[in-house]
Amino acid sequence: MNQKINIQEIKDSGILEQYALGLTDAKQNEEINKWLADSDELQLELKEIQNSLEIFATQYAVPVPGRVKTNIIQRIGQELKMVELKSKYRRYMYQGIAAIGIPFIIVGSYLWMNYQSSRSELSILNQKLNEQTLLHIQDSLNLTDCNSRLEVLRNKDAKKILLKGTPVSPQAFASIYYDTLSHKTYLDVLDLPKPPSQKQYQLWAIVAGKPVDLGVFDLNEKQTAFKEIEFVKEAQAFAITLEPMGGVVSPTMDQMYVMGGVN
Amino acid sequence: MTTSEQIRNQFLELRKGPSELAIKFLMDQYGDTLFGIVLKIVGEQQLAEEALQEGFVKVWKNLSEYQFEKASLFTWMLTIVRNTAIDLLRQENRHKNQNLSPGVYDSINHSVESQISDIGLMNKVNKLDPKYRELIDLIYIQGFTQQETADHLQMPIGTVKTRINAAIKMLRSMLATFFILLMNVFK
Repeated sequence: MNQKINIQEIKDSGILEQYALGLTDAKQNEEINKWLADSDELQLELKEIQNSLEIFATQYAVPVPGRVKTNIIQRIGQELKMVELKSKYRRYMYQGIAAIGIPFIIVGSYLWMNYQSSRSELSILNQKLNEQTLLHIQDSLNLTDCNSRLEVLRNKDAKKILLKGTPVSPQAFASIYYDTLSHKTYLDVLDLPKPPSQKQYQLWAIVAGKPVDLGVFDLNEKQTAFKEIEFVKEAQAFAITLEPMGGVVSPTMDQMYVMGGVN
Repeated sequence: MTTSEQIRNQFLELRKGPSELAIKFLMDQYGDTLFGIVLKIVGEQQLAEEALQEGFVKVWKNLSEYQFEKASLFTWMLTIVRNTAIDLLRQENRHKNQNLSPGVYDSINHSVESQISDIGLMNKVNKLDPKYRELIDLIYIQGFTQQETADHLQMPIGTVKTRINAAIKMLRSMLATFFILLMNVFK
C-alpha cells in the first residue's frame, strides 16, 4: 500500500485529533504510536494539533497567587524528607525491639517515648534543613546565573538589540542580549512607564513572522535587570506590549511599547 | 510555535536534577493556565488553590512517568491536575449530598466566565464559533468523555465526534491566518 495515501487518510480520519484529546483507547494508542514513529509528517501534524489546543487552553489563565506557589514547593520538600524519615525510623524501631526483648519492655516504652519526642525534634530540624537546602539551591543557581550573564557580555557573538519606544511611549527603552552560540537571552529594561493596576508587560519574540510569547513581567529589579529569558532560535525581532494581568496569547498591537529588530 | 517543544526539552533536562526545580519550572510555564482551568472546574478560589496544590504534588510524584514521545507535556499535566480537581469537587459535593453531573458545570461555568473575561482573553479563540468552543471546552478542558458530551448537549455521539474534529481544524486554521496577518504588522 502506498504510504503517502495512508498518511493523508490518517490525517483526514481525525484520529490524531482524538488522540491529542485523550479520547483514543490503549489499542488505538499503540497503533498511532507506531505510525508516529514511522512518519515525521504525522508527528508534525500531531504537534500542530497539540499546539492549537494549548493556545486554546491559555485563554483560561489566571495568575497563581504567590503563596500557593510557595506552599507547593514547601509541600514537596516536606514529602521528600518524610519519605527518608519514615524508612530510617522504622529501621531503628525494629532494631530496638530485637535488642531489648520482652523483659525489658519498660526500657522499651521509655525508648518509645524518647523516639516520639526526638521524632518531632528531628522533623523540625529536617524542615529547617529542607529550607536551607532550598536556599542553597537558590544560591548556587544565582551564582551560575551571574556567571552566564557575564559570559554573554564578554562574548563577541552576543548581539545587543535596542528595543526603542513606539509612538505609544517614545521615551521607553529596553535592551535584549541575544547569544545564539550559548543559546541565552537576557532582558534589560531601562525605561518603561509604571503599568496601571491589573496590567503587566509581556515580552514577545518574532520568529518566522510569528509572535512567540516570552512571558509577562513586573517592573521590579528582579524581573527587569538583566533577567534571563527563554531562548528562541532565529528570532527576527523582540517587542514588549502592555497586556491584562497574566498576559495574553497574541500581542495587542496598539499597546506595543518598545520593539527592535535583530540586526 | 516551537515554544511548547522548547519547554518540554528544558523540562527533560531539569528532570535530571533536583525535582523541586523541575516543579518550579512547570509552575512558571503552565501554573497560570492550569490554575484558571481548575478555577473554572471547581468554581471557587479556595478549592481551586487546594486542587492546584494537590495536582502539582501528584505531578511531582509522577515526574518520571512522563513519556515525551507520547502526550504533550501540557496535556499530561492538564489530565493529572484536572482529575485532581474533579475528585476534590466530587468529595465536596458528597459532603453537600449532591451528585456531580455535567449540569453542575453549567452554573459554575457561568460564574467563572465573567472572571475569566476580566483577565484578558485571546480574541481569536473567542471568535471561534461558540458551538465549536463549547466542544473543545467540554472535552479538552473539562475532561468530558464523548458520551457525556453527547448526553450533555443532547446530540448523537457521531455528531460529537465529527464536530470535535471540525472544531480543532477550525481552530488551527484561524490561528494560522492570524499569524500571517501579524507577520505584516511586525514587518
